[in-house]
Amino acid sequence: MSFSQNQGAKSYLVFIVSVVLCGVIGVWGVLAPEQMTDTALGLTGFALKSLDWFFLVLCTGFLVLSVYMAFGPYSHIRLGKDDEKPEFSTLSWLAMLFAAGMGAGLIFWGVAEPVFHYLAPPGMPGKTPESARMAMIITNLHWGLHAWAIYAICALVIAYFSFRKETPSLISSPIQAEFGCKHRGIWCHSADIIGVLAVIFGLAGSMTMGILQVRAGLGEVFGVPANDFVSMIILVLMTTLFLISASTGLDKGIKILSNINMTIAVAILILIIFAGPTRFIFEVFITSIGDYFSQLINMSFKLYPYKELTGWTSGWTLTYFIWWLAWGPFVGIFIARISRGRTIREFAIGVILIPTLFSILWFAAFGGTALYIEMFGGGGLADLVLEDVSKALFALFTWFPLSEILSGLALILIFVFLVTSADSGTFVVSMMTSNGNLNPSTSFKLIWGILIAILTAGILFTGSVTVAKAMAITGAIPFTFILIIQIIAFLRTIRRENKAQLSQSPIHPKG
Amino acid sequence: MRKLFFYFALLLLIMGCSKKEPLHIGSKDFTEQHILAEIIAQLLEYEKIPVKRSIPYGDTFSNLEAIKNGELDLYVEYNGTGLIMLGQPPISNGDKAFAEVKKLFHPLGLEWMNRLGFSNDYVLVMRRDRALALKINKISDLVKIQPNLRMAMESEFVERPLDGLPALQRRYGLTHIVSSVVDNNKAVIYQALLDGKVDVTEGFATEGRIEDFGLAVLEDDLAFFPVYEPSPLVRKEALKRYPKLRSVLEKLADLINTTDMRQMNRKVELEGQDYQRIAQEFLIKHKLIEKQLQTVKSDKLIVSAGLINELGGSISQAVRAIRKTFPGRRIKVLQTADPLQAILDGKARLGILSAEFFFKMGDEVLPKQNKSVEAVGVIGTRMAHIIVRQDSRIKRLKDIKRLGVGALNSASDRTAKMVLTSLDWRKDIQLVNNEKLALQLDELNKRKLDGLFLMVPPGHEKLTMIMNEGTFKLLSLKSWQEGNHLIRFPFFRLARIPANTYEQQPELIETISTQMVLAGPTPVTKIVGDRGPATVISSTVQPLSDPLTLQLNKALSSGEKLDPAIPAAEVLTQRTKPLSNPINPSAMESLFNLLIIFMIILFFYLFLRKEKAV
Repeated sequence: MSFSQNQGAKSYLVFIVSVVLCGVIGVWGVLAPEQMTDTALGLTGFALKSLDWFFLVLCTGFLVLSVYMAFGPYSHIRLGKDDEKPEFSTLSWLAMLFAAGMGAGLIFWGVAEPVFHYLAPPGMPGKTPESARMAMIITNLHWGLHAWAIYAICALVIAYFSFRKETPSLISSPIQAEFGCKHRGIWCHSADIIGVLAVIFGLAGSMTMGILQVRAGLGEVFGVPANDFVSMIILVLMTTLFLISASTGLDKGIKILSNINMTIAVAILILIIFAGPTRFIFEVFITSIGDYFSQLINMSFKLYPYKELTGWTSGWTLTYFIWWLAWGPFVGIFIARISRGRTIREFAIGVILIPTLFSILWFAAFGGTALYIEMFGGGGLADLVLEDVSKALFALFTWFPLSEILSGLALILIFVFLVTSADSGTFVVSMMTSNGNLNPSTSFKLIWGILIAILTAGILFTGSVTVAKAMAITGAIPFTFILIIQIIAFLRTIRRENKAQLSQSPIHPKG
Repeated sequence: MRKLFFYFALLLLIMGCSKKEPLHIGSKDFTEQHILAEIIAQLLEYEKIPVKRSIPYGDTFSNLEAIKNGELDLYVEYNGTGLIMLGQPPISNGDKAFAEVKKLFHPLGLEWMNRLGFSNDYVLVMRRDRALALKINKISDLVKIQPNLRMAMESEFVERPLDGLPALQRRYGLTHIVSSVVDNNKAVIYQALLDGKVDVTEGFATEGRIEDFGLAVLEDDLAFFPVYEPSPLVRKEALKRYPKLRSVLEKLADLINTTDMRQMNRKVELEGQDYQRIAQEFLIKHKLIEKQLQTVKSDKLIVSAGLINELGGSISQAVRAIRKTFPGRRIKVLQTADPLQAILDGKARLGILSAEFFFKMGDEVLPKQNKSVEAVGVIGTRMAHIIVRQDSRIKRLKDIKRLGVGALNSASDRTAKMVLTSLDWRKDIQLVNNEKLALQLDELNKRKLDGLFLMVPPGHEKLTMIMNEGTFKLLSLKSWQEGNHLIRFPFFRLARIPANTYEQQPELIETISTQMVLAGPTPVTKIVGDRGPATVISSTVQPLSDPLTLQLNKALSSGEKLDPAIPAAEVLTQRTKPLSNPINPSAMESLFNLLIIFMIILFFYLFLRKEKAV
């Protein structure tokens, strides 16, 4: 398998076509936002509505596959050479993948989602102890194993081929490696370009939403006016920071930022747990673990066809899953990049189980406190949640001592999360467009960083959140099919490797 | 990392123990108590005494229990209640009652501070017009009403042995009192009084409604009713802990009179204003504090209403229902010319609209539905009132040349436009807008206007006042029954204003009515939901969720259902199953599914096909 030929030409081809397409779609979105969002969201919406069963079963399939990978016959295989050591310490690795994977959403929804489902759970009356239980199960379904399994699979495929098979870290590499030269050329380039576009628009859309989040947060906490000028200041500040971070390389910028992030997140979490209803939070935590894992199979296949609640599934569960899929290419490649040298079992446990347990604790703390206020305290949070998700977070803080400091910390956290995402996103796009170079040159990162910032500014000026959303998730559905083909290629290759290994040594080698 | 934990532990420690426990203020759970507790809390805070608020803390019993065992340091109690709580009969002499409770509570380690000034006694109230006509101003005068004195009261008043109905009858010799309306809902009792079903009702001296409806309070000339004068009840231990406390509380002595309290109650209860704001305003007015910034974070829920909506009527009904649905939320009423626009602009989350707001008049024959708002519950009815001068020769709406219709885009303006367009008189009659009803009346008097067109509930207070002046009369809108108007505008229902609803209105008036409803923005349903991990804080007003809509509808429920012509929230409309549902709802969907099945088969083939020989 030689990739040396045509390398330069190919990398430029993907780069140039991606930039041109970015420009076209970007201009379309900025000039005719309504038309663009209608088309994009209409397509995604139609697919989600008519193929809801397929997407649900697909995401559940990713989870099953990752369990098989973690405990099946391939669990000992190392993502790298057999004697390679992990590049990052386990703590930094976890911090980095958590920062890239979940980001700011977790902060807002930590309070809001459990309360939301407590008030209006699907197919049962709200505001009951039973609905509180259900709320925690549903929330954990949306943020737990499924989400991380999607990332893990995206990452595993790339990591396996890049570090073990030493192909370039590209979306197309697995397909090319397995399905051979016949399909090479247009198909592989298309896959790469779709990947790049999915990442760029996903990132620009998410950044726009993130900036609006920070802006609204500033308004809520410090009374800063919500106008384009403030958005631009945040954008410029953020761009400067992530460009500095990006130009310093992976082991400095992103690593330091992720560690700061995790420290702040853990600090807030500890404060919420120990200044809040401590015992109740731990009770909720333990109960949620039991409820979630025992209901997992049931919930993973639940579409409510008899209750006319399929709309609920596509509005919540599938919307969540489609977001994880949309972020799949970028978070996946990033997680792959930082997971070099780990065995598949280590990888699966680190990427799926540990973050899931952390998020269950997170929801037990934030959601649990909110439920406590609603069920045993004075109440007053619930209706804020229905009105505005973010207000609920800052409102919850007012129950705590030092609420201004907490709100300030939360804002910093959101901001740093954004910078980290933008940084890792730029890193990934640069990798993808410089033919899978694991340490892309700084100039590439700067070009992409500035392009993404310009695109973000454009979306911000349209003033439409829907445009941002449309851009962010439209790539998800085409990417899903590329991902399936990648997985097939991966499974075939790894099956062959294992067979070869088994025939070499009769004793099963354990990592 | 370790350092961080250390700081954290330190932080928690600091939060755990401060030098002095703040003064814990409690209150009972009704408006007057909220306001009084907040007044005290803000005053103490201004005087640099740290406070902890528990507003409300609970009922009388739990407040008293808490202050006895030291959980609370202060709450406002009424001396009459104090006596009853200690098993003593309440007395009608305020000074004696105060001296008594001061003595009785002393051994409990509690001290009654000086009284705040007013007394929240039982009172008997009458409609002012009737009281004036019959020359009744004290309870003894009630003998004038013969043969039966009809009275509305709460069931508790019937049963109370010492200060209830039987005792009242004995003391004043009013044996001819008939308890015609007994209901625990205050709104029903007052409505009975306003409708003239009863002559007198029982109430409390500081109730906002007395002010609101302009009722006459009858003097208790025999000092029959025991007094309920509030004072701050304080733990002696707290007075020691904060030596300044006594002198600060003394500033409130005799400061609040009954009218003040009634007005404050009215502002909170009927206008939906925030009790913290009201407390602050009071303190500023009396120069006890200087203006300081509001620190309360929680958002107000804003309800838009028309300019001539009555604070006591439709608005308070809506506010009460909203308060029930959104406990703990502060509610603000925004009175504006166009309450619909306030919702569309995101200034208000709910609005009091009537049917005509839900439709737009285009060039077409039929009005177009305005899809951006939907009704959630019924508040009442508005009827078209066409007012002309008593002395004018105008007999029909058609004869009017200049018609005053209130503010631009108000209910009256919208209805008048639709009605005149449908009747094809739009070109002949000139509509005149003015936000001030008084100015339009003035113009009508000065003959600058020929008539006024007002959409108000029948018996609207201001309108009643205007009609009672005797210079105006109402016109019937007879032409509406002819032609196709009823089909073009199904939401305008035929109605009659019965004779003698207003003075100087000897005959019944044919007119049209529209339902007055509480409405909110229509939720936009999208398949790709607004949820998801990257949700943005949106600045737009969020529509009500289904559970809230149902709750609000139930809280409003006046027994009347929404007019089917008005677009209602989806959860409130009954969905009927179509009789012939096609077995295949969407061919496109099926095609998509088939395609996916093929792809799945292809994927399996790709996975399972034999390895090529390498």
